This record gives sequence, structure tokens and C-alpha cells, in this order.
Amino acid sequence: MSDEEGKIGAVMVVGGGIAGMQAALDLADTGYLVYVIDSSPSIGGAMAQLDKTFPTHDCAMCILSPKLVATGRHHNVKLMMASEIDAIEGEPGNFTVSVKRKARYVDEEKCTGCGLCTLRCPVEVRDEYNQGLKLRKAIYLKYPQAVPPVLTIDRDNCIGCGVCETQCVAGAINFSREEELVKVDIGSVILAPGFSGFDPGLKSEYGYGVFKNVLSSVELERMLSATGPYRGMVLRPSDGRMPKRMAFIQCVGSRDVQVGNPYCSSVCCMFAIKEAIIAKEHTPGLETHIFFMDMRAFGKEFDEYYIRAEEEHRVVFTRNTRVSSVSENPETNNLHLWYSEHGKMRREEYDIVVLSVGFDSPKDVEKLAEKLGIELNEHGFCQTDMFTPLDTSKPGIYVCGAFSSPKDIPDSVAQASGAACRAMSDIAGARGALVTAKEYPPEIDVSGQEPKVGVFVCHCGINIGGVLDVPSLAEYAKTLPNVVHAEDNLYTCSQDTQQRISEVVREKGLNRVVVASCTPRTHTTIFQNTLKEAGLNPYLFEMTNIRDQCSWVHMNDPERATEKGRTLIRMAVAKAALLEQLRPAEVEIVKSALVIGGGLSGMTAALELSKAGFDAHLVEKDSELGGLLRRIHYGLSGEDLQGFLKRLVKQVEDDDRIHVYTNAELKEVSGSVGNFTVVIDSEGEETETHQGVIIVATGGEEYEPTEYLYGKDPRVMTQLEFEEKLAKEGEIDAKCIVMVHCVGSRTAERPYCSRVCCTESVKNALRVKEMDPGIAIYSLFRDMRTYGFREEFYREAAEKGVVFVRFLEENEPVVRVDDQGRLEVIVLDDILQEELLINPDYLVLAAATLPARGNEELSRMLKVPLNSQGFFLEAHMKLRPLDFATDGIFLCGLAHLPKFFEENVSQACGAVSRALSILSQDTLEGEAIIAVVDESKCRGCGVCVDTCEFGAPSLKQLEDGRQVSHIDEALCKGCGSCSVNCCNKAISMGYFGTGQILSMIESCFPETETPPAEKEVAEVKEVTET
Amino acid sequence: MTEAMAPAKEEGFQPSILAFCCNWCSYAGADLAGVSRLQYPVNVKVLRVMCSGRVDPYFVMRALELGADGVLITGCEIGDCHYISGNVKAKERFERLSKLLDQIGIGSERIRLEWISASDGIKFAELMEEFTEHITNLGPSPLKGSATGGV
Amino acid sequence: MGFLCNWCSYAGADLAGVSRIQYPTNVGVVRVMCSSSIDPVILVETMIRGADGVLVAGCHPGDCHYDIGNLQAERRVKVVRRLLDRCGLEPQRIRLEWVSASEGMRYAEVVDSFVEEVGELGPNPVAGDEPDLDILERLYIARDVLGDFRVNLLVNKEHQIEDVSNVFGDTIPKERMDELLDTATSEEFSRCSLLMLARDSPVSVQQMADRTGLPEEEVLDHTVTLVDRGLLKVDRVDDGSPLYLTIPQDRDRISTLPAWARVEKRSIELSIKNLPDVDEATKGWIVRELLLTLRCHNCERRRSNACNFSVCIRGLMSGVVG
Repeated sequence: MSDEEGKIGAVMVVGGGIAGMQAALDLADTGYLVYVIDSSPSIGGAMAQLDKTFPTHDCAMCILSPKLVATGRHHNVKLMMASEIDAIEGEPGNFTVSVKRKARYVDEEKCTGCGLCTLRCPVEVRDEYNQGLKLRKAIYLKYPQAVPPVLTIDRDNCIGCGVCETQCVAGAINFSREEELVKVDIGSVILAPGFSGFDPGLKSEYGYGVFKNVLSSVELERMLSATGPYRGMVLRPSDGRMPKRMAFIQCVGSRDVQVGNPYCSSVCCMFAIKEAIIAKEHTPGLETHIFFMDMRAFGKEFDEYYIRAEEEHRVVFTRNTRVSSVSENPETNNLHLWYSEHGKMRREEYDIVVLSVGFDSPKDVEKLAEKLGIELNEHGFCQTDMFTPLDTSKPGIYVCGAFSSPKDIPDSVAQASGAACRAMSDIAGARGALVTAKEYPPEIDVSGQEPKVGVFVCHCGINIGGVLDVPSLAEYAKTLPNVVHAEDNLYTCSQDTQQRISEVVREKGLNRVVVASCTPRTHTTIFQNTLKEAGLNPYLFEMTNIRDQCSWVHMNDPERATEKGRTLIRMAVAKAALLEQLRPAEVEIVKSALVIGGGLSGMTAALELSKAGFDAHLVEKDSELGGLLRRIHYGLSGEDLQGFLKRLVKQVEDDDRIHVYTNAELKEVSGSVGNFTVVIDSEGEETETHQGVIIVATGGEEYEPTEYLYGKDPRVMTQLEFEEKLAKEGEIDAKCIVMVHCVGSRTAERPYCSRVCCTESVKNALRVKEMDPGIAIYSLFRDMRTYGFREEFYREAAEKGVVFVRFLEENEPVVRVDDQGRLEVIVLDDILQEELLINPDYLVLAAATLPARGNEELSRMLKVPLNSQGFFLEAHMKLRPLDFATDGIFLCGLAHLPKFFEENVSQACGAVSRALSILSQDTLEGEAIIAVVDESKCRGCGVCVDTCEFGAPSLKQLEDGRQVSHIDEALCKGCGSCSVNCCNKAISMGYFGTGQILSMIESCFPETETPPAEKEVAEVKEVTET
Repeated sequence: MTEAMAPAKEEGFQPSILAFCCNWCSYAGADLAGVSRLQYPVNVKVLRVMCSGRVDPYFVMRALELGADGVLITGCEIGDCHYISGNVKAKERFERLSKLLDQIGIGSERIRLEWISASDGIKFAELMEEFTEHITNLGPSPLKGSATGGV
Repeated sequence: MGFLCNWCSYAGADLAGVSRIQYPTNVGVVRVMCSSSIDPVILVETMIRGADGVLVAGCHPGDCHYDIGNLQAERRVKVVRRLLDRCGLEPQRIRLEWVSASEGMRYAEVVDSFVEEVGELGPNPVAGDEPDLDILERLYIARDVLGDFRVNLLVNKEHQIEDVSNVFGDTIPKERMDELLDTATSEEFSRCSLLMLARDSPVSVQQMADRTGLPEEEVLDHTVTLVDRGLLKVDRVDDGSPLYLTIPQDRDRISTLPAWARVEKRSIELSIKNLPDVDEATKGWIVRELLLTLRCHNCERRRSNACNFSVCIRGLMSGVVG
């Protein structure tokens, strides 16, 4: 069970939301056994409730559901739903956890998730998933795409009538289940319990729960969803009419000392913008209006999104406002918003008011913390340290996601990978100890054999059989060409039927298998495994969907639905006969990583790689390590960063597994995931190395302002320069200091927010006040973006007398030297609408953070994209923040976006975790469904090279001198675009081959005689080219 | 089972329609329509491909030639493509193919490109309903039963 | 109209007859095997067909020939009375009494007092040539409610869950079951009313609220459930209000049938298809006649003694109609 040091190669992840799933998948892919426990009956967490995600408007369920399925089906992940930790004992690397599993009264092995039982359940309960805007039954599936797709009896509401049992054909209902206590041995724990939404009823002045048309932002989100109560319509709860005017009130339960949540919830600003835009899209003529204090658009492309919302979507923003109260017109149920603007009380009328609710710490977290022995901060979130943002106060227990501080999805995902990396480092030696690769019999080579197809048609209880005439389908299948066996099963996916398939394959010598049942999206892997067990190549399998896309949607027309079923089976059999054995390409992995950039992120990544037992080659362009961190002296709470940096550099330099190259740059990069060839020029000397993966941590630099007399007057300096001065001199001789925010950020040229400068200004202001409380400090800002727990330092600064003055973009401060040689700053205070004239001794500029200069060249060399601002562009803004679309290359730190110290550490660990899922394997299995070039047909035109987004095709010279296309098997994702674009139809796809698809089309319309296809290929090609 | 019972269509022309669905979004949307038990006409048969970018215009032509009365291509919303831009390519090809169909007299109204996200079960069912009706109104494809007539 | 159980009350009535006890003649008697075998749908049906009052008589608690049949009946009558109230009919028009086989005298007294009470209430407003259409419509709704699985199931299981043991081996307190049943009855009544309203032309939430007297928010809530059940759809949006339309169901054609008999509709339609040309009225008559020949699933099942509804629809309807 464990390695020689007594470490256990298993990890428990508490919480199955997006963070928990990401951590689990990283760990499982790297060779650890993972237990995911969640108090809910299904995984998915808060993200499963979302309609769209900001700022890309990706459909949340579209991007989430592949992760759900991957987690649910991963052979190294064990889901423990409706469970909670009861006790933990042991030490890092070797814990024993007692888990209390509630009974769900439905057998997870037997339930098919068909949901028939819910239809006759007489008990209706408010559906939590839909925020109570809809009803569910006492036996229910949390949401349609829920994983595991197993129903649950809600014991609190169930009256025990037993009708569900009579409805369940699978016999999955089991009332005698009882709560059980399970003991699990694991090496580390990752906490990802998420958050709970603030109860808006506590802000009684806004009338939530009293006035019908006051909604929470989560309720609105459910309304916007196509699976929500009104199927995507926004309706006023009071009368079911579409609203004409909608207002959003921000910071409900955030930045609010009175309700005990002084921190900022970090996501609600963007959440509100998203909802304001989508609600407009869903409701003709709707006006949306957002009332906020500061617009905290600090993430990647958030500010651009904010601008688009205002300019393109005409969302109205009223800044610097805390709405004081909401009242209702009892006649119309319309709402009056009372707020002050420029010191005057104003009133506006709306027909819906949405409260942007903040994050509370997760429910019952105190109990969990007590059981685990971890410390919470004063707000009930996990206590972490700036230097170790992923570690709880108890060794061996790690944290990620909103539980460490309120955060959005990409930050949670990045942190989750980071926590996975930390959790692995305790048990690096036990990697792979608890996961056993399944042994399959040797594969029978069927090439050259006549196709012998076996067809298995599933009744799915009565889900299919209740509508389609399933036995007749099986009989029909027997009449199809190449079919040597056909039968119908009650449940084809059940354990015994799968065994039976194996037997039939052997007995009748089947070499192709067709299953007609539910959706291939969830069930392909199951049946492919059955084929493997029977000694067949898994790609000799085809599945057709006669449930979700036939019996369930044509309940009223059983005869024609059965006819359709026949067609679908005919098509599947036609394809199956042409299926070929596919073997995913195997790439041998070089067990070493290249880390580009020797700043905080790069060094952290290198050290974590080394801890995991892999070599790291660290390339730094400067003569010494440290990057931008060399210019930062202390943290928000006064942490000594230079001391930390010294220790970090020493650790890196002392580590045998880390090879540091200084004054170095990359000359050349070629190859692909598993084996990149890299030429490094260091101190004028070129070295060629082979690397399995690449981590990009190129960092950033401070903008050199051209504004506000910078460089012309020595009293004007940047925040970093000012910080250096404070740190070096330990005191400051001044009476008055002015700080200006957003210098070089949020401009037309650089529309992004540099994320760190507001906090940096607050930090330095506090430092000055500490040195001499008598110094007057004016901080001139546009939006104060001290998100998360940083908000408290902002308040502290204000309490200590720092004067915060808001100016608008169009009224930038004017700085000049007056006739007496004094600095003079003139600014229009937007709140008081008064012009201020200040004569500071120092003017400190919060200068933007710029991407590293070499990014462009590097992006060309690695063939990975940059965004318009010059930061690297990840594979997916929400769910793959640390990956590039190109496999084997990862990013972290400022290369991605300006960010804080602790965020860099999290991301660096996260990038390592992503890298380890590759490095930990000896060989990498690529996709099997990839493009295949018929070299005899290829003319070497190169259209495929231009078509591919992943850089898979390239041109190569054959021995006879012809140029032909060559597909890099490790890079091809199998989309098939190149095949379509290929001029000479020289490229086909595995499993979705041109011939295979054509045979399906031909068998779909059988009544016509089929002329030979070859001739048309040429004809059609010509016309489509025109 | 819900008690939704759409009245059976009258006897008469029953178009056959082929729908190409991408694996990641629109096929999932079709599944969701099933999970939600949304009823739609039986005329459409779904052919799963990994990406709408896999749909060769030739596939569409071949289907029409063999007697399909209508062909649907569905993919992820622009920006959501699992393969970054497969749907964009599908769109370009579709536009070319539409022109071609108009030129040769089959009529581009027999083919349709739609974006269906994985949570758009309702949209999928409505599309099936609407497209089937649309094709029914158009009547049988002029190519029907004359496969040898060629393009 | 009186429904008397075979073992006690019918015997009691017999005894009254044998004893030559005089009582009013207004009561037509249907003998059923057990008071529990009276489907509440039938009680409502009886009211629809113009009975001024319905008396259900069964054995005293504990004496039931079928163990708990009479307790079941008690619950059913309770629900029907509640629905009558909602329909605007006096709940007193339905009465449940315990009459044992030896209580001939009591039977006569019961009938006496019931006839008197119903007499005071006056004639059933839906009877006669000018029936009160509002009440009649509501009675139809009430019948739909009782035909639906939800209320039915709760009524049928109530005794088991409340007094004996549910599937978990617990019991549920009476108050909670009462509340559940109350809510379910009231909700389903509202929902059926909305379906009725939205049957012919699309209506908005406001219109439905106006016409049912329900609060708009409650109407909206019900539309969500009904859309989910596939019974209602949004037809179009008019001036910012979605208009809802009932999705035609099988029972629309033959709305007199309880849910469990609807399955046979197809075979009836087939029979009608084969009829020579007749006018609509005749067709309607034929349909009704055909209905009377129906054997519901429960009849089929009764052969295995598993039927919950011991009253055969044929026997019942011919009794009432005839």
C-alpha cells in the first residue's frame, strides 16, 4: 500500500467543485489515487449553476461537463458523494481519514440516471440548484448533467411511500441503506470546499425576501440559463412579466463591516457585468444599470470587457455609489432605489433589482477546521501565509479555490493545480504505488479479416424499450450485411452484459462491435474496455444513440421512432464494417523540464519539479536570479521579501536537480511534447538539451512613465522606486506625498489593469504612515482594486488618514512645477466635484506592469500565442489558465498577467502540476483519432499546415524528392479540418474516416442506388474550390 | 415520462434529414434535449463527428444526392470550439456550399448551419421541429430518386 | 346517491329494510365491496352528474372486512370535501358515516339527517337545465386533480405512512401528512385550473391570476412546474408577457376519463375511425358508449387482487348514467 518511507500514494480532495475536480484530475493523471468527497450528491460545485462565464461568455456547462465526465470516469478517482470528514489522524504522507457517508438510498452501480422515479414521486421540494425558483422531487438528480448520474433520495423530505421503487426497472432503489463510516488511508489532503453565498436577507435595507422583485445575482443566473426555471427568460417573480429596467446593486455582503464581511468578494463586479449583458440579450428592450463603488476589473481582459459592456452593450454604470435603500411601490411591485450621487440623494425606479451577493466562508467550515486541526482567518476562510499560499496551518493539508480567499474560476483552477503539486511533493516517492494499470489480454490482429459485426441493442429498462420495439431492432440488425450476431439486452452497460459481450466476441469470432443504446459521450469508454478485455482493439467499436436522440424525444411516435432506430443501427453497422484498428502514437518522455525565466515563478517551479524528482533547466536572461522580485522589499504585512529571495536563490543554486543558466536566452526550440530539443545560449556558450516539457515564466517589468514629469523631476518616482527608497533609507523626509494610480494602465494604448498597483500604493502609504503618521498622503485613483482580503489594508490606510481621491479618466490630474519650484498637482475630486490643489514633496506613480520584452520572440519560437497586450495567451481563459493549446508547454506568473506574489507561487506550483501529469509517465499516449496522410496522394501543397491550429502537420521531403504532409501524432487533436481542406483528399481521419462517414450517409438513404463514390470526389472538389 | 404528446403529423411527405453534430457541444445539446424529454419530429438522423470542421461539403452533397431532403450542420458557438476554430472553418465552407447549391438549382435553403451549445437542449429540439417543418414545406428534394443524375 | 360497503353498511341498509324502518327515498344505493373502493373521482363525477349529496357508508373503524379499507375511505372523502369547498360547493354534500351490519336503525337515521341537511343546502347548482357553469368547470378541474397521480398517491399511502410504517420503517406525523396533502390538493387544483384556462387561447400570467384569483407569483410558479411536466408551453411573448398555452393531451378528447383509463383512448379512436359518417353529436354518444365498455388496467389487474379501484368503471357509470 505504501512506499518504503511509509508514505501513501493517495490524496483526499475535499470538495468536488471546479477546483476540487482540477486538483483531482491533475493528481490522478500523475499516478495518485484520489478520493473526492463532497457533501452534495454530485460534483460540479458552484460552476454547475452558471449560465455563462465572463469575459468570454463561454457556456459554463459546455466547458464544465467534459471535466465532470473526466472526473467521474477516471480510473484513479473515487467519488464519495454525500460524505464528510469525521476525523483524521496520522501525519503528512500517512493519514487515516474517517469519512461519514450518508445513505443516498439509490445503488450507484445500478442506477442509470434515467429519472423515471422522479416522475411519480408525490413530494415536491424547492430546488436548491435553481435557487428555489423551481421545484424538484424528493428523489432527484441535482441537475441534468450531474456526475455521477445517480439519483438521491432526500431523506429530510421523503415520506417513504416507496413509489420510486416500483418505477425503477433497474432495481436500484434500496431503502435499507444506512449512513456508514469509511476509513481511508491517504498521504495528503486538499481542501477545496469553495464558498457559500452571502444571505442577502441580512441586508434588510434592500428588501430581499420582502419585495418580490428583488433577486440575488445567483437567482438571476438561473433565470438566464436555458435549464433554469423560465428556460432562459428573465421574468419578474411578482407577475411573470419581462422587466424593462433592471438595476444591480454591488457589494451586497462584501466590503461591508456591518455584516461582518469587510473583504471584497473579487468576482461580483464581473459577474454583474456579465449578467447585465446577457439579460439584455435575453430580454428585448431591457435597460441594465449597475451601481457600484469601485469596478474591480483586475483580471485578464476584464477591463476591455467592462469597456465593451458600457460602449457596445450600453450597460449603464453609476460609480462610487453605495445604494442606501430599496423601497417598493406596492401597486406595481416596482422598486425605488435610493442612492447619493455627488452628495445629493437620488431616486430611480426599476422593475427588477439584483443584489450582487458576495462570498461567505463555506457552510459548517468551523466544524471541518476543528476536525482537521487547521486554522481559519477571522472571516472563516482558510488561514494561509504569503510565502506558502497553498498550505494550511497543518502540514500535509493543502488548500485551493475560494476557501483560501474569494476568487474566480481561472484563479481557482490555477490554484487547484498548485495545491495538487504541493500535495504530491509530500508523497513523491509513493507516486504510482496505488494505481495499477489494468492488464488486458493481447490484442488480436483483425486486419485483413472479413468484418464480423456483433450488434447489441439496449432496452435501457423501459427508457428505450418502452418506446422502440427493441427485439425487432435486434432481429433487423441480423439482416444487415456483415452482421453475424445481434441481440437485445435489458441493460447493455450492466456488468453481466459486458461479460456476455466478451464471451460472444470470443465464441463467434466477432471483430467489430456495435452497441445501440444511450450516448457515446458517456459510455464509449465502458464498452471500449469491454472490447479490450475481449482482446479487440477498442476502436473496433461503434455506438449509436437510440435513447437520448430517439426514444426519449419521439415518445409519441413509437413506430416511426423504431424505424429511425433501424436507420441509426444500419448507419452504425455500415461504419463499423469499415472500422480499423487504431493505436495511439507513443512518445517517450524526457524526464526533464525547461523553465524559462528565473524570477519568483520560475524558481518556485524549478524547486517543485526537483521535489517531485525531475530535473529542471532554469534559463534567466539576467546575470542573477530573482526577476522583478529583486525590486520588492516587503509584503503587505511587512514580510521580508529580500530575505526570502536570498534563501530561495540559495535553495535553487544548491539543488542538484536544477541547472541554472544565467545571461541566457533560447536560440532554438524544436520537437514536441515529451521531447523538445532546446538550444540555450548562456554566457555566450551554446548548449543543446532535450526536455520533456517547457514552462514559460518570463515575468514582466515596470513601465517607465512618460507622464507627470517622470524622469524630468527627481521628486517624481514610480512605486517600486519609492519602495526601494523607503526600504533603503528607513525614513522619509516629507510633509506631503501624492500617489497617482493607473499610470500607463487602463489607457487607450494599454487597456488592461495591472492588478497589483492599487495594493502596492496602499502598502507604501501604510509604510509611510508607520514611519511618520504626520505625513499627509493623497492617493489619486480611478477604481480602488484591492480585491479579496487586501481590502482591509485599504480601509486601514483610510483610517490612518490617507486621503483617497477619485478622478475620472477624462479628468487626469495635472502635474507641474510652480513658480516657487514646488510640485503642484491639480485634480478634480469626482466625489466632491471640487478641484484640489496639492503641493507634494514627492509624487509617486503606480506604473503599469508590462509583459517581458522577449515575449514576442519566444512566442514565435514556441509557436504559442500572445494576446494583444503581449502577455501569453493560455489554452482556455477559464479552465486551462496554465496550459497552452500546444501540448507540453505551460505558463505561469507575470507571463500570463500581472499578479501578486502569492498568486505567482500558486501558479508556478500549478504549472508544475500540469507538467508532472506528462513527466510522471514513461511514454505518452497521444490521441488515436488523428489525421492520416496517404503519401501517394499528397501533393505537398501545405494547405493542411495553414489549416491546423495545433501545428500538427508539417511538410517533409520523401526520399524520391517529393514534398508531402507529415502529421505529428503527438500534436494532432483529431478535429478533421485538414482532411476537409486537403486538395487531393490525401488526408483522412482515424475513426471518422471519409469512407466511414460516407458509408454512414449512404446507408442512411438506402432506397436509392449508390453510384461509385470515387468519381464525385473529383467533381465536387472542383466546385467547392471555386 | 412526461405526458407531452405532440399530435402525430398527417400522412404525406416525410422528409429525411441528416444532421451532423459536433461531439463537444451540439451532440451534447441533442443529448440534453433527450434528458429533458423534449419531443421533436423523427425525421432527423444525427451523425456524430468530432468537430463541425470535419464536415466535408462533399458529405453534404453526397447526402443530398442520395435523397436527403435537408442537411443540418451544427457546431459549438463561435469561440467555444473545442478545436479553437473548426466552427469558423465550417462556416466559411458552408457559405461557399450554399452559393453552390443555389447555382445548381438545389437551393441553399435545404442546408442549414446552426450553433448549439451543450446546454441548449431546447434550442436543439426547436431547431429539429422548425427545420423539419421548413423542409416539409419545401417538399422533396429534386435529387430524390435520381442519384445517377449527378450534381 | 349512497355508496355502501358490502359487509357492514349495505347489510345495515338491508336490515333497515327488513326492519321496515322508514327513511327518505331520495337515496339511490350503489353497493361496493368496501368503502375504500370508491375512487374519489367517482364521488366528484357523481356531483358533476347532478347528485345533491353523496353518502358513503362503511364499517366502523376496526371492523373493516378489508382491514383498513374504511380508513382509506375516510381520507378520500376528506380530500373530496376539501375540493368541493374549493369548487364552491358545500362540503357537507358528501358525508362519510360508519354503519355496521346491525345498525339498521342508525342507517335510517343517518339517511334521514343527511337528506335533511342536503335539503337545506338546496339543489346541486350544477344539476338541471341551467347549471352553474363556473362550479361545473371547477368540478371538472377537481376531477382532473383526483385523476392525477400525485393527490391519488398521497391519499392512498396516507394511512400506511402515517399509522403503520413507511419504507424506512418510520411513520410520518399526521400533521405533516395533512399539510402535504392539503398543499398537494390545493396546488394541483390551481395547476389544473391554469391548464383549463390556457387550453383554447394563449394567456398571460396576469390574465390567469385575474381569472383564478390566485396571486400572480403563485401562478408564475405553477407555470414553471407545468412547463416542466410538458403540459404547458410558452406560445409567444406579447408586450413583455409570455403567453402560455396548454399542450393538447390525450384526455382533452375524452376528458371524462380518469388518468388510469386514458391508455385505452387509442383503441377507441380506432373504432371511431371505422364508423360510417355520423354527425358530431352521435359520435360523442358513441364514444361514451364505448367508454362504458372499457376495462381499465385496474380491472385487468383486479384478477390478481391488486386493484386499488374495486369499482369497475363500467358498473359505476352505467349505475350513474342509467
